[in-house]
Amino acid sequence: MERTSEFKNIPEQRLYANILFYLNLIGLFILLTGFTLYLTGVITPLVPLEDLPRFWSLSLDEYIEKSNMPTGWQWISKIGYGDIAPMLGIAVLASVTFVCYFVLLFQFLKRGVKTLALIVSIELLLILLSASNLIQVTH
Amino acid sequence: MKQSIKVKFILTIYSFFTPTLIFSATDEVFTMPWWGWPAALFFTTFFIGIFGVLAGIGGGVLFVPLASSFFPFHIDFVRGTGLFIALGSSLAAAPHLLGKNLASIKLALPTALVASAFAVVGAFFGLWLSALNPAYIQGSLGVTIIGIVFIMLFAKDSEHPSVAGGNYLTQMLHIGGIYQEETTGKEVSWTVHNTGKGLFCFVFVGLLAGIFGLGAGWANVPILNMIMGAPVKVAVATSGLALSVTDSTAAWIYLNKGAVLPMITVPSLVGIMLGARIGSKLLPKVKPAAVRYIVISVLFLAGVRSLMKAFGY
Repeated sequence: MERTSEFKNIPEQRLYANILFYLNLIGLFILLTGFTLYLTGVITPLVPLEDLPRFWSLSLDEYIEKSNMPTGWQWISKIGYGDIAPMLGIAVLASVTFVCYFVLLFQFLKRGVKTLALIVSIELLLILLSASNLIQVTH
Repeated sequence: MKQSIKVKFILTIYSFFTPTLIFSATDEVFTMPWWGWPAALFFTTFFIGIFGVLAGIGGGVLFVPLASSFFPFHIDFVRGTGLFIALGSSLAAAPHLLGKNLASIKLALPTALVASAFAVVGAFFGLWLSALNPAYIQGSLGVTIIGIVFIMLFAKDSEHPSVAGGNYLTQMLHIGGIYQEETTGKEVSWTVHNTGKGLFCFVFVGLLAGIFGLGAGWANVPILNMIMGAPVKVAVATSGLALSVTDSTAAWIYLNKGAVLPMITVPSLVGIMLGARIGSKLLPKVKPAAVRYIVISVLFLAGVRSLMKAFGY
């Protein structure tokens, strides 16, 4: 098979892999630290551990209403509560792709790879839109 | 010896799922200490991790029907966790696969873009449907899982599909790559075709991932391999990378809506990651085909149970 640019791996593969690897480790570390603090009772939770079985079978709307759990980005203001602390690690894990794509965008722009830069930009906007909590569906 | 390993696995699966089935009488929730269900979830996901790897099936697709059918958690929390399980597993595996040039960023970028856009739509639709009546989601999950079982049973793969050149989209996006085949030491060049058709299929992959919180390896691999013509190793590896992108967008929707309960998500994530590590070590010692059929049977049962739950049984 003739080797054209089509058959070459992009040079950013290694960089993407490294960022992914370290951010994932950091995310897991933060997640497990937060969860350990929650589980051991070092930080008081909003919903006491022994009351959890009364909440986890509720529908989402009922759960939010009865537990006073924050939605959207409000969890940041309640990060001191045990059941909110692990959210930081969860948010880091959910952000790993965003950071990787952000780096990719700069690399593609630097190399002048416009098509791939456009795809990455749209994906970044999509992740931002999802994370922003700006889209609301009412029922 | 092989027979004995097979028997041991069958016994382990049944001994593991039997208590889960017994505990499925969710009215008895309050008789258990609060830590009982998260502990049961940890062990369940640990085994899902092991058997998922042995059977070549992603953890998310096993987790959602099992946890929503046999545990007392509301299906919204299960779906939120399912997305994070799929996300966590794909994030953990991707660096190694990218390093070996098996996962391809060039192939993942367009496919993940289509899938993630529709995963957002699916996530909103799923949460809206669940707010109307959780039985709608539970029932459609059951139907979807039974459909997935048939796809898993009958989908074929091709190690190195022949690819017709001259595809406009493929050339525009420069989709292709080179990897080293470890068994022969030879470099393999690959590209894809039917890119438009393949991208269209990712619309449905994204919708299902968003609606049900399922990982979508079961769909990604046949699309990438059989429709687009990527070598099977590239398809499997790139599917994981694309999942890490697709699930990120849907995961944010569930997280923002409050559908991620750390007491459900963290034990599940840790359990499945530990299980997957053990599974990858056991892989050379067991017969994957036998385990695959057992796991597919369990998945089928979970699908049926999900349907029954939707109808109030």
